[in-house]
Amino acid sequence: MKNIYNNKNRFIVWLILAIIIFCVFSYIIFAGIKIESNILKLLPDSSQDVFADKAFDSFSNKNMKKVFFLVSGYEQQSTLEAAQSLFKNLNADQSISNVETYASDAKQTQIAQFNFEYRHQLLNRNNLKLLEAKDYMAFLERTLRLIYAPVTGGLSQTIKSDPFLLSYQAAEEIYSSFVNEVFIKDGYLIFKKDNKFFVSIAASLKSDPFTRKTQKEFLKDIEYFERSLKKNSLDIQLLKTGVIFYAADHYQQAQQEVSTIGTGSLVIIIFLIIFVFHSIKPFFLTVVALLVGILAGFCAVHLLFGYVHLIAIVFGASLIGVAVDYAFHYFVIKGAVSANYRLKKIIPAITLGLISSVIGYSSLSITPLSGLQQMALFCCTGLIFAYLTVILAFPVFRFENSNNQLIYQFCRKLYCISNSKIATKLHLLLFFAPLIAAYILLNTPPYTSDLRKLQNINSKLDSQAKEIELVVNRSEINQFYLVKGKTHQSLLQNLEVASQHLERLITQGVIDGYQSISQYVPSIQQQKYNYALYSQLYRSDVLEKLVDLNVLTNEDVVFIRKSFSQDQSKSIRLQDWLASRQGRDMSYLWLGKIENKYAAIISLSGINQIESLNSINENILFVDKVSQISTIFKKYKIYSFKLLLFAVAIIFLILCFRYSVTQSLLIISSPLIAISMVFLTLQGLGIAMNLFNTLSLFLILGIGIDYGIFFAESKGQNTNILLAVLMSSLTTLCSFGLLSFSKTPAIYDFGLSMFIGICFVLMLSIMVSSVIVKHKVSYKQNYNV
Amino acid sequence: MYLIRLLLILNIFVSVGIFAAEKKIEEIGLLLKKEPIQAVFNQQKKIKELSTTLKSSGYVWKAPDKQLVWQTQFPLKSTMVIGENLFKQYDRKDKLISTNRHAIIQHISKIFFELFNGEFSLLQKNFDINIISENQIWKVTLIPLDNSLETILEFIQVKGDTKLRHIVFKESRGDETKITLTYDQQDTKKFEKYL
Repeated sequence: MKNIYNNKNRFIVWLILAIIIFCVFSYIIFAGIKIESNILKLLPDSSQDVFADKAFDSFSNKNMKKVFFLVSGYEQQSTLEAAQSLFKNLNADQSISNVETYASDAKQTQIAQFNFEYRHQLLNRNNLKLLEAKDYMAFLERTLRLIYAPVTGGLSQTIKSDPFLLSYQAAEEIYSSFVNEVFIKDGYLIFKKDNKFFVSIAASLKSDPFTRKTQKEFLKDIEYFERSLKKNSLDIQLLKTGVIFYAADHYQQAQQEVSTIGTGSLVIIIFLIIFVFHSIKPFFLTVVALLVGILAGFCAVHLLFGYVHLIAIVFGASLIGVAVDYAFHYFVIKGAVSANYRLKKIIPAITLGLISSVIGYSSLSITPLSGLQQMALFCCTGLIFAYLTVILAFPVFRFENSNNQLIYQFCRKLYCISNSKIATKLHLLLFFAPLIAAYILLNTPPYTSDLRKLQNINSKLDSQAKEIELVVNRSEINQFYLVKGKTHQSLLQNLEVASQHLERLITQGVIDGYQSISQYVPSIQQQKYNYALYSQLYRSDVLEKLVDLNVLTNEDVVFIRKSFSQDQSKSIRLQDWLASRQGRDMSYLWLGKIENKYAAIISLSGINQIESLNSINENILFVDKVSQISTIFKKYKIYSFKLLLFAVAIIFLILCFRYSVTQSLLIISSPLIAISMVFLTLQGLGIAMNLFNTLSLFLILGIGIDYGIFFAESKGQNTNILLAVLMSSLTTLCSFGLLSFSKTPAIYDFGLSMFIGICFVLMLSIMVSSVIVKHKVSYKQNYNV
Repeated sequence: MYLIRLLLILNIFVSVGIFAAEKKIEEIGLLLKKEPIQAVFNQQKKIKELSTTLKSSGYVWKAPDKQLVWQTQFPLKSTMVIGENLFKQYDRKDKLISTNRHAIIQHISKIFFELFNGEFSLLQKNFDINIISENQIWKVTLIPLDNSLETILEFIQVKGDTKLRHIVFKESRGDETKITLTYDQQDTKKFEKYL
């Protein structure tokens, strides 16, 4: 009666905990679940170069909310009409804050006015070369070519105030940066490539593209538009790119994979439980333990970090492999007179198992990688709550053990095999595996995990992004130059130094082009130099030659020279340009003040030889986020290896408190050999170790230690323990076998390593089980423990 | 009843007119397509801001592959090559100048190409085409349909008989260019290098 009363009290405690978790989870759902799929978010919050990190964050935040579209078709008018319809739809979209066609009349006028106003301060690359070479005839020729062309298109109206059409030259430089033919129609920028028209539209999202709410709202409208486009015309296509499309794709894929893995695991668990226990009750209770564990882990991470990384969820889902151990051990106990009897039998084993696993996972939290910290928190919280469910909630439910005799006989035979000399010899032989693995590890040249190979990029989205890049020369997001300066002027001067360097790189074919603020706003020093060069042009006889050709009159020349001299005091200030229409459009290049310095980005397009791109000096840095992250991943892979060894050592010491050194060594040997075998198998398959398959080794360690402890604590229930181990490893194997079907290489690597590792852990645990039990018995007899 | 009859008669006249015009377009198009162009051009351009007329002259040659070489020889040598999807410019020293990607120039050069090759079916997409024909002489007027073209051009007029003789470009802001072609067989080898 007292036991029942205690059980009920324990259950109430558990129920309160479960309700709290459920409420927290509901709150998270209500507030909006934020699942992060960006692999960059796994990185530490701060690295050595704070300036570069802040600059990158600022740059990526500006780009993150942007979406870019190209409406393409072979017929100009219908393509333009489709683009106009998209513009209208985007304007009406609640999730969009701003839609841009790049070439509205108002915008063109404002840019033209700015270029005219400061035409004597601005000087494009081509004109600079001509003026420095004193080739003034080239200016005359250009004016004549335009003025004598059959159609001048309005350019002739500026001839009396801007005879060299300098304001037009500035605008032309923007067009010359495009590889393909480009023109403006009805306020839209239209590109022409291979007889196909591409109308460009850009938009900015109101909120974070990683939130599911934004994704749903925005993508619903875009999908609807695409459907109507397909219905109305087979010729018109919509190309799109932007972080939101990738984020939504990753989310859907993750959802699909999680549900596949979840369903697969669930079916196998149901089958195994019904087959072994002849009852559905253990299944429901196991599911409750897993659900509570996973929900608790999810909530803890979401509350502490503000989002949950997909990798943490996948790693967290692997809790199934560990947490089911606790539940299965509870159910396999034979001859239990009460629930408390079962608990008494399993508590030492599962508590020790929990402690060792928590120590193993906690070591991951020491790393500054937020992704690893999330995994550690997810797993530790999840395991603790699954454990609490077993000891607090399970005893309330009456369960009669009527295990399948066939399975018992099989396990008995398996146990007998583990007692055989062959098994012992094989086990001894496998002791060499860690030594071989260590030798290979120390003698293999370090491998840099390429970040790009770890991400799964949707091929359709990727091909669309590449096509957009080919049409409009869009800049690279992950590789750019970061330029800084104490003042606006020193920043602009540094940008000019960088531009000179980049011009050389263009001629060498290293890059195709670049975008820099200095192309639009020269430094005051450069503006004065430009003006000085122009003054020689205006002083030359070119204007008189235009008089001779009846293009200008003598009065016009006097007026032109007078207005030129009046422009001497003019200068473009950076803040004025930033406030101008063009400045607002190019604001993604401007980062503002970071760490007491002004910073700007020079974006690059068409990088052909990345190895030739380097920092120029301390103020002009080349940022290659992909290589940088790949190097960080490599660094943390090695770090994780060291932590793994550290965790093994700590767990071994803890085991030594309860067991003999030999027995502790035996317990730890199975996961250690299994880990070595994972490494050797992957090497054999030609798969390099990366951060993700290194992380799987932590789980293999945790699961392997659990199995060893369960055998050591079997208390005459060896066959039952073997059954529990067999069942939990089978469920884990099936779950991680499914992970190997993941399209995300990082998850695939993780799943494959887990699959290999668990296979070895199961095999080794069975092989070593009888030896552990024997040692436990003799240790007890010798030391009277 | 009388009104209906009148409308019917008018309708027949209009239909005949349309039929005749379509026939003429095809004929003129075919003529321009077939006819080789090797001619001296004289251009007179009136710019609104300038009091005098700007005169220039040169040579125009339509290559067998339909590309058009337009070489201004006076007052300053400069050469344009216009193809279906091509626009090149050479300076007085025959040095290739960076291709001009400006929308207006791209657009106009395309119209030029279509006009000299008699591609009226393509021009019809952007222009309302009117024809007046009498005996051997014909006059085609092209009025832009398109907003973006309308801001540049008021109309284009081409006149000819068995050959294309005159072209007039009237720009929306008032500038007017008159081009007269005088057919003159010259050695085209000197133009082939531009192709």
